[in-house]
Amino acid sequence: MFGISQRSSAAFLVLLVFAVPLFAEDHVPRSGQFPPAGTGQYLAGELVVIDPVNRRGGLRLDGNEGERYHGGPLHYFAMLPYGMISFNGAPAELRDIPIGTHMQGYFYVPPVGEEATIPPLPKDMERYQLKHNHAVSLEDDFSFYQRRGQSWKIVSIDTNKGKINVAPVGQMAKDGISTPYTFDIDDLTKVWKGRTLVDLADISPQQVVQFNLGWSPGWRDKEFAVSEIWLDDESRKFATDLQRRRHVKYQKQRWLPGWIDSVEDNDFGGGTVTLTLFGGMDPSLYAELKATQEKGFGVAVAEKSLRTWFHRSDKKIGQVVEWKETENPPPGSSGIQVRMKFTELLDGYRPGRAVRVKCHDWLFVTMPSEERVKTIEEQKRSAVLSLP
Amino acid sequence: MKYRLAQLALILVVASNVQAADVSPAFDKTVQPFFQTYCLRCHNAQKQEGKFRLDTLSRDFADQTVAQRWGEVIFRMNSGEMPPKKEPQPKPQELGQAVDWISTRITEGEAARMARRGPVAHYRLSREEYGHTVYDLLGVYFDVNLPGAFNEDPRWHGFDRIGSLLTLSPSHVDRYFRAAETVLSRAFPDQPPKSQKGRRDANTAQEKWLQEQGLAGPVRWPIWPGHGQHLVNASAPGLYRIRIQLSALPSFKGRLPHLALWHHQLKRSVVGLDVSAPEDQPTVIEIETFLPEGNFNVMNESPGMLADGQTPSVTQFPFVNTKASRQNRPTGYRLFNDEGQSIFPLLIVDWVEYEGPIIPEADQRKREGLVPAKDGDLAEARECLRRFAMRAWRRPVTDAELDRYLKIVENERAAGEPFQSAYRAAMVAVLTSKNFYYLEEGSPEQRRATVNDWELASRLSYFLWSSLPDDELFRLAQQGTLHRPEVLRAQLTRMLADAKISRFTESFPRQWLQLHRVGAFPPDASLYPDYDKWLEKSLVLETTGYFGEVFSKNLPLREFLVSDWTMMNPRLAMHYGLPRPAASSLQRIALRPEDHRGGLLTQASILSLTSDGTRHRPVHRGVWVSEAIFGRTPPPPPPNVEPLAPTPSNQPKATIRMQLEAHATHATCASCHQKIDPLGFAFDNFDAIGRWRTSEQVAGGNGDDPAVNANGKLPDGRAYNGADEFKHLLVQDMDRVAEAFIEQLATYSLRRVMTIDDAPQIKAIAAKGKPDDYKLQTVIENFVMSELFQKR
Repeated sequence: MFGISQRSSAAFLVLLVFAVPLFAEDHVPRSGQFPPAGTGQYLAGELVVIDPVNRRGGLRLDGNEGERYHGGPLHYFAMLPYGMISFNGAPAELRDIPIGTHMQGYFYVPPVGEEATIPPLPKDMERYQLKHNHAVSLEDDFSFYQRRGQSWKIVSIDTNKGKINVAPVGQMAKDGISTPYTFDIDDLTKVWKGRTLVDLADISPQQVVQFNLGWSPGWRDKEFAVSEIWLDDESRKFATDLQRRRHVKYQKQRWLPGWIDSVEDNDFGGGTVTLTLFGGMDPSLYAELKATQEKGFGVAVAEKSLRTWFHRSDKKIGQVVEWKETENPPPGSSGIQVRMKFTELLDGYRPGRAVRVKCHDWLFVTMPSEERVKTIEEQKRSAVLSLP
Repeated sequence: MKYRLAQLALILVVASNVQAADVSPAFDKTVQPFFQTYCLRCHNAQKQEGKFRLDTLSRDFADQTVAQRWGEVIFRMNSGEMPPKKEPQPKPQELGQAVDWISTRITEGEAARMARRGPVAHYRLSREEYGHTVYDLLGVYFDVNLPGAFNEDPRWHGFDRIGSLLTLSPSHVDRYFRAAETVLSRAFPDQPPKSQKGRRDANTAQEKWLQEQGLAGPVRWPIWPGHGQHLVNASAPGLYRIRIQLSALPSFKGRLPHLALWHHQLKRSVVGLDVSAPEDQPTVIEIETFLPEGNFNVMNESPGMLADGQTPSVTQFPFVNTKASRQNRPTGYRLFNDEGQSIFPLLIVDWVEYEGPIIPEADQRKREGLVPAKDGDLAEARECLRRFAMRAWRRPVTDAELDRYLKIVENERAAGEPFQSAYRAAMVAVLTSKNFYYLEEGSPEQRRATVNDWELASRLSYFLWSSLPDDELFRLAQQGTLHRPEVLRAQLTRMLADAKISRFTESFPRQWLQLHRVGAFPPDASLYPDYDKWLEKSLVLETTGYFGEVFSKNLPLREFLVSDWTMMNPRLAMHYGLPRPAASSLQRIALRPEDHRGGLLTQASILSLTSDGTRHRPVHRGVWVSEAIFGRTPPPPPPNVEPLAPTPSNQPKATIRMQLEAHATHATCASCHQKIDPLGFAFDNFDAIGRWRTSEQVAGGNGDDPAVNANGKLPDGRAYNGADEFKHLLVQDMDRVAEAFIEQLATYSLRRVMTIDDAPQIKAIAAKGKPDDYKLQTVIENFVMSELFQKR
């Protein structure tokens, strides 16, 4: 094709695979700007370590490019403040995702000024350095494929050999696996039907399923084990609902993240603040805010990790002047912009700075100590990934 | 009709039987027919328009109240207000005859009314006067406004020195006693207070920190709005000299910081001024002021942050300069905007030095010869006490009077008190005597129509200095020459030039213009977030400063109505949307027509004191103009008047004027409102805190905020469009305005409400000032030189 020999085209393909991180659209995130749709580097791997408080972690990337599986490091990453995490089809936090879950996400180079958040690899590992280490999204396979309309049809299952053959159905995902595939399966696989755990024997051809993947001895060859499988709609809805509930509770305690778009100061105190809520939250949370906007919202300053200091005390309460919604917001944004009047403003109300927004009716909760930023020193320490 | 007239005739006959007999044939021939034709139809037994009934109005003109009411009748007839335009109108001759009859009766009754007044009139000192009096007597600053010091004096239309209102209760006596003890213990302390010096420097012991931070320094104290630094201690009350080196940066919008000394124990500031100095060129502010005992913060009293107790890391970060120093936590207050400018007016203090209490030589001299030098010398004690009582009581003291006070000394000594302490008890008794806290005019044994020279001296000094006469006035009173026109005129000239005249130029306008009402209804913070305490003080400062300028430049009274200048400080300029004046203190600035200001009536103090904190009140504004400018108090509204309701959300937005006009269509309301409202509608272009506007912000209702309508017609039919034209219409009535002003001046200085008997003299004083264009000092001089001023 185009006069390129088969051999040379194979070589070009190899080059292309290696070159992806180098030549992908290198959108550089900036505070206060959401990335354009359709950008970001696709990466997938198993979640091996997490720092759930600071929303950071490390993935063992799929395959073995450049002998990475054998001798290379994890791919350490930080979630962008507006980065969205999904698990079992619902919004989630890193803490909700079991270690060992295969995840897929889109990543950017570090935002301007945050190049040090993920420290560079040691000299002897430098060749494995991937500069796309700030995630705008991270999803388990269940969420990733379901959201894109792709499911899997069981072709066959051989419990003796511990193999299951599946074929993608529905709308094919652009990234990830979109070809018939064989996965490992054994009696450690959790099989869900309805609201109960069932046996491998309940899996039968023609069933349309979603699953989550995990490590397999053939990882270097992109072999995966099915860690959890949902055989029917009810089981999937049940899983999603459980996660949704956990997420809603979590957000009500920590408040909805967003960032400041602009501040109009009064020199006699207070001012008007415009902020945009980040996307990816359960719609009921936005709806609750909208319905109670006349009571005003509390706004606490947050770090890029979305950690707050002592949010129940440090917040200021403002009155909503305007609630604006836009269609098709960019990735990371909810499309909801709120204009609020305050009698006092905090230093952290700065354009591009993350905040958390409290609905009047949510109960005040004091976060455990490790979640709070308590000192300037701690704030500095927490700005950099610190993992084994 | 026949029935009603017959009934009226019967009433008049009955009334004439029970009232003082009036046998004047002119009444039956001229006045009664006039009333029957033009008045009684609306003011009789069946109908009492304006709650006024003429048919039963007594004709006992020896009664002050009756004479006042007849005076009101004449005023309404003469002004054309009565009978109303829609009613049959009298011929000029008929009107003249009726007015003549009433006027004659009023004049005839004057002697009888005067005879009914007591031989001695007592006028208690207001607390403001008490404070000035003890300072001038003993050089002791006694803060009469301290909590618990004195009761607030009752006011009559703003005046707080009206004798008939200033009564005496046991609590007054108790407070006078405590005040006297305090004043005397400060004037003659057992141990003279040591003057202390103090210095605090922000950079002290900061070298190590600066080195660690790699900063050159010096460390300075940033003082943000609403915050202060405890830097001054006053070990004893008295005069203090304070020097502060500071920079004072305006907010990013140009608002200047307001430096104040804030008293910890009283929880209020005692000194305040706007300051300005670049960050790299600090200035030294020197303040010399009386301070009560206690600890003081150097405070930034500009509006801004509220200490709500929820923000833990307010401003606790070491500060060097506005470029290097920033909040160390994002949860602290936002102090700098996104361009790095200070959001708020910022004080940056380097050091503070203070010294006090300082006892000026002049104050020390006031105390000389008032306390016997030798213990046990009763003869000396008598002379000292005589000097003290004479000055304190503002008149000669008889030996018999002194004997009673020396008896106190003896009794105290007999009870074992040391001599000085016993003598002090007598001094306390002098200051708690009615002779001190009452100004007495008249003699029990002699009915006098005029005041004597001692009383005249006090009249003069309390009028112009709010305090007791000085030695010169005492000397002339003792000589009995003060009342002589040439002496009185010379003394007046001397007094007007004395520094103490500022007490008059500050106090009189406050009382005349009812400035105590400024801030009485604090503006709603959500509607007027920009309003702050310093603005509130500045509003009053503009008006009193304006009066002071008219006084010192001896400008015509007309300038109270219209002018092309005003007094302005930076805070006011910001409020008015005018350029910031050059200096940070109050100063005279020129106004342009497009500034929509000039005169008193469009000053924000006046416009806000007639508002209720949420909206302007045209009716209140009208009443104020009527009272302050024309000296006429409209009748109070009838009871149970429905308040104006907020505009329903499904109705178009309506201005207050629109609502009032609907309200005033009720017959019961219309008669008064058509006279009052036009005096207030003229100022509809000004909101509740006196800012210019062209549309009125209306809560509720739908549609755009409606445009302001400041057109109107005076009761006499003259039309105006807006406040400027209205003010010029008032200028056309200058004679009336001048008479009203003199009436206010007389009320203030004579400590009583003017009556119908004073009207001719007031008219005469005004007429005398007209050729000189009613210049203020000339008007004051004509008043002081008039019969009225010496009338008892």
